[in-house]
Amino acid sequence: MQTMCESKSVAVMEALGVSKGFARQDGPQTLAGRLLEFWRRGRGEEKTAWALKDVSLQVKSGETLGIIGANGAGKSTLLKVLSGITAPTKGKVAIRGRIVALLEAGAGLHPDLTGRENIFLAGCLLGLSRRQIRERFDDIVHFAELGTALDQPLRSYSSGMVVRLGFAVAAHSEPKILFLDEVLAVGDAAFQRKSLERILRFKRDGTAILFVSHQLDHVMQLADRVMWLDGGEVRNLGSAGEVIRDYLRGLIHTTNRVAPTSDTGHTELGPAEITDVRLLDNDGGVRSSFQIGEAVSLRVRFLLRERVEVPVFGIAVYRGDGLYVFGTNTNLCGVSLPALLGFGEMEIRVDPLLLSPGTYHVSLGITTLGGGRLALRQFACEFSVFPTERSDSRGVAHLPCRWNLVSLADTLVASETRQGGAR
Amino acid sequence: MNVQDNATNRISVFHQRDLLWVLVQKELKVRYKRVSFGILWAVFNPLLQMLVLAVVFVSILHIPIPGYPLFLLTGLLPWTFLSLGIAAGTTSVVDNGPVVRKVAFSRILLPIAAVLGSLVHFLISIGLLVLGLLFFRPGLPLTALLLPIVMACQFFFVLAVTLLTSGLYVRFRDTRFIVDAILMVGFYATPVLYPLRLVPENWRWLLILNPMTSFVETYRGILWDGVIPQQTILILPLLFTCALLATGIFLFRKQEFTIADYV
Repeated sequence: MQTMCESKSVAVMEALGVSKGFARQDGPQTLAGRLLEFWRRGRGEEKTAWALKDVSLQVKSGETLGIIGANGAGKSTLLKVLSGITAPTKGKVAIRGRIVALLEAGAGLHPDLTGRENIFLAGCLLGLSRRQIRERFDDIVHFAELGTALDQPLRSYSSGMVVRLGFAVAAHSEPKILFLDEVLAVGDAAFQRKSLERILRFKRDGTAILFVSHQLDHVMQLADRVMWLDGGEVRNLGSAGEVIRDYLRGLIHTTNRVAPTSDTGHTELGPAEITDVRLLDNDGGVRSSFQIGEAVSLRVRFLLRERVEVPVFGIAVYRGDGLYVFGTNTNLCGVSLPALLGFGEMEIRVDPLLLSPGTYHVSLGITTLGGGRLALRQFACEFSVFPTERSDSRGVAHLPCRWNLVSLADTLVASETRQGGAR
Repeated sequence: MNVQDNATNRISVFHQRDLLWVLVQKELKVRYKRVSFGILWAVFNPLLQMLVLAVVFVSILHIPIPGYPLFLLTGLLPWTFLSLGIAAGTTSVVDNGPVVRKVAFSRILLPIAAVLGSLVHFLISIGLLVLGLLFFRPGLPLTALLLPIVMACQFFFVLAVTLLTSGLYVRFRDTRFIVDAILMVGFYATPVLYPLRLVPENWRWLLILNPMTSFVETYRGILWDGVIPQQTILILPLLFTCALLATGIFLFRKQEFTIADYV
């Protein structure tokens, strides 16, 4: 899909050297302050804090660009500048076609107006005419699942309903470019799925999508390309898998750097230490990406400085977005280890690896039987899981499925068993 | 394919008339949601003000003007339009902060919608005034037909002031209080309570410099006396309004794209 779009479509949006600066809060903010400043030294240069520094990008129709980065990296500011909510301080933004900015769920809705009135308000704000809204009104109401609340004021809505309404209006505005800022993170699971489906349809119809999300699995699933913003600058821009891997690696380094104390990072010179962690495939080669169902073995080298009567080794697996996927330890698995002292190596063998495609990271720990912590290594290693030709899935766990067509009305079809993905 | 800088922002107000219409509706609906007497309040306040002032000036101060309550109302209503329009317009951009920060649309529509909302109130109350004049006085003079033109001129004057003040208010929140102070002084410096002819000759020029003097005098002239005021009174405020409107639009447009950074 990605290559098809890139070869035949033109850029619908282009940003060249975009920078955005804000006057620093300690500068003159009030009229009196301003006049005083003016009096003192004429029109002095305002102190500016740069939220975006020299960002350039091009988005083609049908392309989906994910924007990731830490809080305060400038992701939302970038969307604001690109969607025309605020102008760049330096640089240029060129856009072809109408845009819809859905910067935040519920943007453009007023709490005192009814659902019906809000549809017109939000629709017109997105650039629809009243006639267009009237034509699509029923579809919008249907999509938003408002039911009898249509003529109730918005303030009586649940937050989920507000989100649905906002998304429903935007979804019916035929955007050329769609901006989404963490919109997928809200709403219940059913609506999330529905909006995800709608977004995929936009994608098929050639809408360019720019979205900001902290949920890396969503980014992985939707984005053709990913931009990693760091301190207002583009740290990396490229294919989704590559940038996300890079980003996660960056996360690991930052975590180790900023939190060397207490419970994150290496614990130095404790009673025990995890010295080395490697992921090996079936043939003993070091790898960081695996296919669904492959055999993986995790090799952990450790040092116990004191003799431990009953050591317990623990493992925890997290998805890229921080979801706790799996955790166990030797005690829970009924493995009793002998008393240990000195250097050693533990192998944890997972076969088959039944995780859905995505990025994951592993934390490891050694404790005493009573739970006293001896060593802990968070972000000990990371790995990605990729689909194979015959198995692919979404979510977290890859549950092996067999699909059997048991019967079909009238015609009887011989049931055929086929190993396949969950989808 | 047309390439636009910052997309929707540069589309003319005319092309966004649907949005403008919806914003005016919102302005009115939000104000009167959960209010039993709705838009009647817009009429009630100036009427009450008229009543109080009429009692003070007729019964206590014995002002020598026949039909003073209606005379007063003829000046009071345009003044109320001005003060409410400017008050609502000045804070309109900031009041709509949540939308301004999240949606790209012409911000200039916000002060325009606020002033249009006040115009609706003005239309209703002036309609009642015309009924009152028909009922209590021997008919309306023919010059009353000019009323829509005068109202349109005043609308643009109020809009021009509002464009300046609303833009300033985004950056400097003192603006609101400065505007309130000027309006308070302006009320007495405009011949609302008294006719211009009662003002001593050598002070009159000072009042004529105030564009609202011209508007109030013109309303009185066409609705009350059946005369069209002399040229200086008509031309000056029109030129002033045009200049102010051009400045207002220019300054507002200039900062339109950075407003979201300050609200």
